[in-house]
Amino acid sequence: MTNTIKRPGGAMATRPLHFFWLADCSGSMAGEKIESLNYAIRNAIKPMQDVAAANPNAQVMVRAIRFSTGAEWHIAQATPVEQFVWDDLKACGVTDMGVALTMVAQQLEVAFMPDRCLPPVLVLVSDGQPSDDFNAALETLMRKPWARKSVRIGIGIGYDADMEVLQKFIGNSELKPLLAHNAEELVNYIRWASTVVLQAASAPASQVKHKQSQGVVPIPHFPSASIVIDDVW
Amino acid sequence: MAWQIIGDTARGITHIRADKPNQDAWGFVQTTACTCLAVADGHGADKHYRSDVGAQLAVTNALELLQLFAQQSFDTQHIKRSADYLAAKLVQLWRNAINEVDQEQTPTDKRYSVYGTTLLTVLLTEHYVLYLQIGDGDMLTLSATGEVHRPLGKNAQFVANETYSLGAEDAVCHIEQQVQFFKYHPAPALIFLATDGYANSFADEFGLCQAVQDFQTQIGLHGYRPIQMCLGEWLHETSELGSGDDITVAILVHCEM
Repeated sequence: MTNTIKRPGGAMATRPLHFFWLADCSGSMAGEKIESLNYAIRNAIKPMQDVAAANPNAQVMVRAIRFSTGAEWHIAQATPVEQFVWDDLKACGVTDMGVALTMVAQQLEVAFMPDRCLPPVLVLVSDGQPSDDFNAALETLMRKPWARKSVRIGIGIGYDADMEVLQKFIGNSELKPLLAHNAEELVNYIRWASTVVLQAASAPASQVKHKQSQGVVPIPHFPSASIVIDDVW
Repeated sequence: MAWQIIGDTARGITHIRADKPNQDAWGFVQTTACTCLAVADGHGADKHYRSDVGAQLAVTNALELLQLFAQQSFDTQHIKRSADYLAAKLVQLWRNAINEVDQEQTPTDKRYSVYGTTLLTVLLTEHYVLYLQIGDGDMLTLSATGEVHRPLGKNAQFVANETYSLGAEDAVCHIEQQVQFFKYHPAPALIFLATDGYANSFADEFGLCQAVQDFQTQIGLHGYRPIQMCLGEWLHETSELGSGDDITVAILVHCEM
């Protein structure tokens, strides 16, 4: 008889996890840097999908913003990771990173992301310094409750990357931005963000609410590099 | 006024995969004078590594405290005044219990945090119902006409698995409670307590409210025992299809004598 009783409640759903790529497409990225970034992200798709498959209670949704002179959605619709494909980015223009942050902020409204969502992941990749008002945009972003709880990763490409800006974006002194000196390092960092970070965000445990929260997902540090820095950008 | 109790807990599917214990706990006490029900959700983060014990102690001590509370002679003003001290008493009782089990294994400054947990509890007597909660989780009531309410409101501050904790230094400040006297508020037909893994398994709030109403309907159609028998399996399926978290549901149903 008990087999015939319907389980109470409405439709069930796994918990959405929104993953945002914020990619620098300024002119200085032209050539090998943008090609490496395209390769690195494309190369990370399968591992990312594998991590998502191993965490079936999280529904990973991917979006991407490209920023140069202004910013626009590269992947505008939140796309299930199983359907995530990467179209190549092209580089030209300046580094309007602030516009990109403002665009993400708009998507982190509680109205778009109910409280049952998992903490979003924001991965910012840049080779330079912002050409717009990054600080004001970061302030706008961090006013959103979901932004404050987000996992923010900063990856610099080459020695001109403004690591101070990336550190500000991360907003957690215990988590440092990663600096890719060459294509191989970039691939490793992108893969780490797409897998290890995604894994941590997919199954977060309850954390006690503090007045000054630095996020709710403990992120493992990137393993110490044993890479020989030869192919320097 | 008679109340029937249904409840169960299921280890979350992500806890099974990660070989972690069920960190939820629940319990009840029913005497001639009162019915008490409690659920607790130990925090899963690594630094709260004894939260399963903390959750169990939260339930045990809340039930003990509320049972004692119910023994007071009934007078609305007196009950209201006494209720003002409940939060502090509860925190102190829980801390004493933690000190006893911990045997100074953890440093004093981290001890209560290590056992950190949420707590939702209800006391029902002939004259009143008292609701008390710290942290996330859902406490809902169903009226005789089928409307779902949250007696303590919904805490909109919690996103991304953040919660207040009985283990926090300022725990007393974050305990919410309410007493409703039946001479002013009709008694609910059903009281529903659940840890956050349950609500997080539904696509939206409507799905959770629907569950509360469905429980009432199913109990009316099939009786208590079959629902109690199904509950464990339902919670396991819910974790599998939904949040993956530990899930505990405990229900008080008003029944005619």
